[in-house]
Amino acid sequence: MSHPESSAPEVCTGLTDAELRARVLALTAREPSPTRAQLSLQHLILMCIVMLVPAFVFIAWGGIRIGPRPERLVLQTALGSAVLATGLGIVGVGRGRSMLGRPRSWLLTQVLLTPVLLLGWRILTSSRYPNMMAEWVGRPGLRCLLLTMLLAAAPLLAVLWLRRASDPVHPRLTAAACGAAVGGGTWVLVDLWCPVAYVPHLLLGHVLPLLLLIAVSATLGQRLVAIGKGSPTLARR
Amino acid sequence: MTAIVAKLARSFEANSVNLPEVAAPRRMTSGASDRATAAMERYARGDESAFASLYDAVAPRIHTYLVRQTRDRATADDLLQQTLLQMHKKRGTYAAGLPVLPWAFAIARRLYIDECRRRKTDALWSARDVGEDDRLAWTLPDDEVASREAAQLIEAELSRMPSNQRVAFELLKIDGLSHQDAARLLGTTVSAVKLRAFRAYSAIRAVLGRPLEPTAFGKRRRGA
Repeated sequence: MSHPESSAPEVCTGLTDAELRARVLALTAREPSPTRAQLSLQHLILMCIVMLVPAFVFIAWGGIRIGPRPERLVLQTALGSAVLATGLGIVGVGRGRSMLGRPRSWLLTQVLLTPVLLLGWRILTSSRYPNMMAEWVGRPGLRCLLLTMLLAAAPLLAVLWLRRASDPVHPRLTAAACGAAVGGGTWVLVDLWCPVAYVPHLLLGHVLPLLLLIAVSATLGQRLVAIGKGSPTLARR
Repeated sequence: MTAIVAKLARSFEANSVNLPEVAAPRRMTSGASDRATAAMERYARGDESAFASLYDAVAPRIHTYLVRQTRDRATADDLLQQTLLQMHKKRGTYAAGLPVLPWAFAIARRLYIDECRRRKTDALWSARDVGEDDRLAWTLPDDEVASREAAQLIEAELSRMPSNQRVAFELLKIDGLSHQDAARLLGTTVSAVKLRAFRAYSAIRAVLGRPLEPTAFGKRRRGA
C-alpha cells in the first residue's frame, strides 16, 4: 500500500475536523497530480508508442496473408471482426457514464460474448465458401496462439497500466473486460494473417489465447486495477 | 454512530405503520451532489483551489460513513484522508458531469474493506463501551432512554444481519444514496439492493415490534 518514494501520509489520530481538513489539503498540495488535459496527453502518447509493438510484430510475422482465401472472404471476415471487436472493446475499456465503471452485468456479458461472437462470425463467413472450413494438416493453431499472445502483450499491459488503481468496485472483472477488448483487437489481425478456419484450429489458436488473455488480465487486475492495494498514496499503519 | 442509530430508532418509534417514509434518511441532496460535481470538474481542469470546495462537499458524508463502519474516529480520519488522496491522484480521470459522491463512497468502502482484511480481526471493529451507556441511562429522560434502547436494538440487529443486507440498508437509509448509486457501488443490481435493504428493514422492524423486556434486552445487549 505504501510507496517508498512518495511522502506517505501518517496515521491521523485525535485530530479535529479543521485539523484533518488542513492536513489533507496540505498533503494534496505536497503531491501534485496530473490534470485531465495532462493525463489525456500522457495516455495518447503512451498508446501511440505501445501500438507500434503489435504493428511491428504483425509485419515481422508476415502481415496480411490471403492464402487460398478469396479476397472477398478476407474482407468480410476482417471487417465484421473489426466492427464486433470495436463495439465490444468500447464496452470493455470504456467507463460509461459513471465513475464506477460499467455495471457488472455489462462487463460479464462483454467478456463472455467476445470469444463467442468473434468465433461465430469467423465460422459463419468461412462456411459460406467451399473448402474454407477444411482441416489443414500440420497447422493445429500453435503459431496463431503465439502470434496472438505476442500481439496482445504490450497493449494489454498498457491498458491495465492506464486503468491502474481506478476501480473500487469490481477490478477483476474490469481487467478481464480490458483483456477481452485487447484480445478482440488482436483477433482481427490474426484473422488477416491466418487462412485456416478449421474449427479445432480456431479453438486452439484463436479462442484459447483470447481466454488466456482474459484470465491473465483478471489476475493482474486484482493487483493493478483495484483501488487500495498498490495504490501509490496510501499510508501503512 | 450511536447518534445516527438513535435518530433512526426515533424515526422507527414515531410511526411504526409507515416505516419506510418515516425512516427516510436525509437524501443525498442535489445541492451537495452538484457542489461536489462542480468542484471536481474545476479540480480536474487544474484549478488547485477547488480541492477545498471538493473536500467540504464530500468529506462530511464520507467521514460519517467511515465512522459508522469503523466505529473508531482515528481510523475513520485515516481512511477519509486516504479516500480524498485517491480522488486527488485520480482527478485527471474524472469525466465532466459524472456524479462524484458515489465514486467517493466506493473508494471509501474499498479502503475500509482493505483495512478490515489487513487487520484480520473483527474484534477491534465491534468493540463497544456499553458501560458508559448503562451509567448515562440513569440520568436521561425516559424517552431518551427508550430511544437509546431502541438504537441499541437496531445496532445489535444490524451487527447480526448478513453484511450485504446491512451495507445496503446503511447506504440507502443512512447515507442517502439512491438505489442506482448503491447498486453501482456494491457491484450488483438495483433489484438486489432493494431486496437486501427490504430484508434488513423487515428484520429491524421485527425486532422493534417485540416488547422491550428488561431481562431479554440485557442479555441481547451483553451479547452484542
